[in-house]
Amino acid sequence: MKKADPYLLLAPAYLLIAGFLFYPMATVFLLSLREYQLMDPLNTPFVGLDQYAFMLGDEYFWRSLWNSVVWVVVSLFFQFLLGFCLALLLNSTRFRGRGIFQAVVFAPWAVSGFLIAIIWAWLLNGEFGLVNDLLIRAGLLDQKVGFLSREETALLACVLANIWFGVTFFAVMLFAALQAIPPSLYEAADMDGATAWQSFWRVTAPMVKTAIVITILLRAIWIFNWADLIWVMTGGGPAGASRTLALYVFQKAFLGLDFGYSAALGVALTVVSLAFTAVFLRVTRFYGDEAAI
Amino acid sequence: MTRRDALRLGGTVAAGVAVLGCGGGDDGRTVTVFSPMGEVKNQALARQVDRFMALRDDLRVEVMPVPWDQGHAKLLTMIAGGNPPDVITATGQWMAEFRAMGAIEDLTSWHASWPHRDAFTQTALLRCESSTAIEEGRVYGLPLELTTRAMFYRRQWLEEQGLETASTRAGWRALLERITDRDRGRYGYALRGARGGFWTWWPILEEFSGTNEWFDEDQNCIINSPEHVAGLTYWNDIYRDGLAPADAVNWGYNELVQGFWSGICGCIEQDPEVVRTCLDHGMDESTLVTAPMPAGPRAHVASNDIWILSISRNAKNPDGALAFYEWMMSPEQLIAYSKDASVLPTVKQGMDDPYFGQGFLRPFMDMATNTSLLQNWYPSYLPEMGEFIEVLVTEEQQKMLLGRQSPQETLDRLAGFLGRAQQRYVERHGPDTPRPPGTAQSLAP
Repeated sequence: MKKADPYLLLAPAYLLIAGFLFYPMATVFLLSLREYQLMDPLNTPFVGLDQYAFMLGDEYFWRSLWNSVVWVVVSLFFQFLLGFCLALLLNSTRFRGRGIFQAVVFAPWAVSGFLIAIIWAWLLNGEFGLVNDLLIRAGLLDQKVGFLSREETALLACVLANIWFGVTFFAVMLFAALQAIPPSLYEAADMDGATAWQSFWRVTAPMVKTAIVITILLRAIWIFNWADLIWVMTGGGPAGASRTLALYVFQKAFLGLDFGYSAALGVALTVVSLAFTAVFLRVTRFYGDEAAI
Repeated sequence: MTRRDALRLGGTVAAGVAVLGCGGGDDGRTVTVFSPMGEVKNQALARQVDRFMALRDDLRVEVMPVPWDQGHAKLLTMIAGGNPPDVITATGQWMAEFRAMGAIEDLTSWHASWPHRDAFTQTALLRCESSTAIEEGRVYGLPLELTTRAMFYRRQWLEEQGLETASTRAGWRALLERITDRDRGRYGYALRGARGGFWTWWPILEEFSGTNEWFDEDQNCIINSPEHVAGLTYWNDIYRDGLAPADAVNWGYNELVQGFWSGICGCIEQDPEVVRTCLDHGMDESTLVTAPMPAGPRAHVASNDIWILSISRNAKNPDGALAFYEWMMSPEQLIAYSKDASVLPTVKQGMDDPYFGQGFLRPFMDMATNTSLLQNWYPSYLPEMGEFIEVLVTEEQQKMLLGRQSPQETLDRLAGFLGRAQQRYVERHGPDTPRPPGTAQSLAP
């Protein structure tokens, strides 16, 4: 009886994980092996890997995947850069009124993605948007630009909104990590004659590395899977210029009603996320140099 | 895993997502009413429900309001997941599909002894028949309202140029050129470049080609004929020539209507309930005028449809659903609803009501009751139609608007997709496919 006890105690957790994680994932995978058009629900033949084969030749899939890469990499780079700067600023004891700023700076994170999308869509509106007006007044533009209606700018306009939104998350996480660094380390560095630059690279950076890696990983996956901002701002358009893979999954399922192919795309989305995670953790040596992932 | 299991699994997952937040109790008192008709009409229906509940405190009727462009998918997922609403509001275009799924209750025996069975207009009953809501004497749904398209214009813009509303597509194009003034931020037309653009350009293709057919006898898709291409070129040129805002390439329903009442665009084509939206945003007789749709070179097209009220075959509360249904479909309540939502009535009694025959609603009434017009139609029986309208058309029309492909290339791609879809359908169900209204087959006795 004693031998079974641990398993019995762990069983509820296993069941929960199996029920809420593995069962839906397995269901999606099984769905991806069938042709499942919701408009023809009595005809769902098993097609094996046909939908995956179709995906490889689907130009919309490859374009969406590339857009996802741009969407994640550019958003993440600037979110991290600006977020880290903000965290350092907030952590500085010489910064007056930092208590107020600490409270205010996190506000965007509390705003819903839907609302952010609407605000930015109005700001970037081609006819009466504030951004156009400011740029024309500053002499940087001759005439109004439809940022959301041009193929070259639509995705970057969404990225801009995403950066504004996500900077604060990095700031919160990295600020917390900075606060955890014992002041004695900086005092020791000071006594050894380290410059501010050396203190940053030799003390601050190694101490917050774990927080940076985890935050970047989390944000990368969230941004990769996040479709509502783009959906509200551009609907993935014009002509797919801002359609990411996550948005393509949504469109296929709930607009095209093709649940079979949408499930296959969803599986691809998961595989890409997992592959990225594995590579990222290895490159950043998150588990140490010798540990295998 | 059997096919049935897979079906149940997929449907449950889909329905779980779709109905989250759509409440509904199993207490035997609750009746759920699915209402995907757009905000103005959903609210008008909800007010009818309030009136009904004031009379019947033993029932609790819950309206499930859904934006119209999500209505089809949501209803489909609810039915596929085995959790349908009790009362279903559906457009005529959806009826055949939901009936084929066995989702709609046969109301024939109830209808036979219903005192108001002769109350409906001929136009409404014909649309019921063409949508299969009434078929060979069996009744699966009754018409809640008639819907059609007419043109909305900003009256002052026309008056400034000394213009009248346009009766032909050539005249309309000239009108757009006259009222467009880009320096003042004024554009002729609120063009629907994103989702639902199909609903605005497809009738133009019918006007230019003179037919509402999609396939020839060999089941080849004919929508890329030179006449169809001329129609799409006409629509594309409005955007390419700057008669619509550049941002319109991303416009769906909301942006479109907003673009009109906010004063960016001088005209828009829409359903009658948009009259209410315009009035709510401060427009009145001095700023708004409505007119029938202009006629094309080969046809004058009416984008008619009906909204049908039906009862779900698997209703959880069939008696309560029928009680509400019976009350709601009486002429008195249908007229009250139509006035509240500013839509066209389906009962004869409403035809004599001066409210509908004058003012902003008059052109809609003229379009809906003129039986000589070509009836707008599309093959909604094809399972790929959702993919076609919602994903493929949007993508291809945007490529065209941005100048990356010609109208000919656009229609070639769309015709190729639908030709294959039709072939698959014929292989499965035989060549006797549903036909558009007004063709020899549907007019045969």
